[in-house]
Amino acid sequence: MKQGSADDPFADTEQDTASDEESSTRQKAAETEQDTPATGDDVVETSAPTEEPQERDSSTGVQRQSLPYIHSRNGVKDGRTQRPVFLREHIETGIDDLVDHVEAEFGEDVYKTDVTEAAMAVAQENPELVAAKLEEWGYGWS
Amino acid sequence: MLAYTVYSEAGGVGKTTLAANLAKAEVRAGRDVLVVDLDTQEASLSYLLDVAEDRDNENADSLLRHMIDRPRDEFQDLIKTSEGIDIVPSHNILEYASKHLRRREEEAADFGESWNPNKQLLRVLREAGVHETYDTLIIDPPASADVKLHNAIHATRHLVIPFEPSGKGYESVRGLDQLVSGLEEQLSIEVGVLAVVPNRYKGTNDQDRFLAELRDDGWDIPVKLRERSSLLEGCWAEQCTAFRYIEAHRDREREHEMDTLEKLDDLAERIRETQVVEA
Repeated sequence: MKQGSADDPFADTEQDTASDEESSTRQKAAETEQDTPATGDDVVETSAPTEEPQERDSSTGVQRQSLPYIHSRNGVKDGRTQRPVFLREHIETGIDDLVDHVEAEFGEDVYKTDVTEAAMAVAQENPELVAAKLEEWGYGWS
Repeated sequence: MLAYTVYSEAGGVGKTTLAANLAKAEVRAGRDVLVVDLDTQEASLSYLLDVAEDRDNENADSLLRHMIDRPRDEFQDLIKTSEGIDIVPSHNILEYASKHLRRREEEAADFGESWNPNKQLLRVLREAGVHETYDTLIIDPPASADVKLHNAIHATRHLVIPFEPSGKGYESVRGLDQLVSGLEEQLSIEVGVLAVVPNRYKGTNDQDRFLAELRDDGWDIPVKLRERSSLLEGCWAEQCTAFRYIEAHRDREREHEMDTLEKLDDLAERIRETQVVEA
């Protein structure tokens, strides 16, 4: 500790305080989604921003947005909000299998966080596949 | 928002009365003040300011419930007001804070989430928009160094340290320095000391020697509070701040007591300036 003033934990959302956050409501998270870096690598994420987060160059104030998502972020948690989701065991195991699959495909490490969010993005782009799965689970039988 | 935790490793140094009176001095300066009481002792700030009625009510919502994501109600409904000071009172369940926070951490781990039990108070306060509502946040933690103290320091990043001008008091400041250094490393934070406040100062040579040593160590000592037993006992008996006590319960003004109030106002101001200047 030192004499005088230190940093202000309330000044803005900073990584070390946000990373452990698990917002209790979706609305709250939606409000802070753009500026709240969050979450652990091994956590299932569902809050894909529809646009790539813009990064501001601190020296010039110029925004750059040309790089693909994983190359323009500072860390895998950037711009993401941690979400608890309820999964059955075989689905959760399936995520690891999916990670293995894409890693074999690309020949490089792929974050589980990216895989789970990509899986959600694919589902959102293919709602008919989601509906078919739900039907398999018993929806729409009446 | 100005935020600090009033803490000393040594007990009985007037931590709670200092926190309450600094809060009142902030109100007198026209600021919106929130005090969070994390101390479960009977002689707590909640008792001193007469807002402790729900502390043993098992059905009442409590700050700890919010910290473990099991709130019963809105954060705002936790707040009681006394002498213009908003207070989140202490609750007996805080006695078991470390057990409940650890359980919650284990539960989170089972779901593959990282959840740090030391960082939950800041999360709750931020989610409640405390920094947008208040000008000053003061936390009164328990005297023991446990997870509640960690949460308090993590949420405020600043300390005001009441100090008994004696060898024991001097060692307690050095001990606190060690404790805080460990915490800074563990939580990746930096902690600033806004003031060291000698309490029950009598002006003896011995006391002056310890104050000089503290200054040599680099700590700022803006004011010295004299021994005011009668005034402080009166505060506990009437459950109010020193400002209210002198106004409402003394039939005549005593110069030395007015001097103490003035020093409290000065101290509050110096603390505000310290944070503003260096932030």
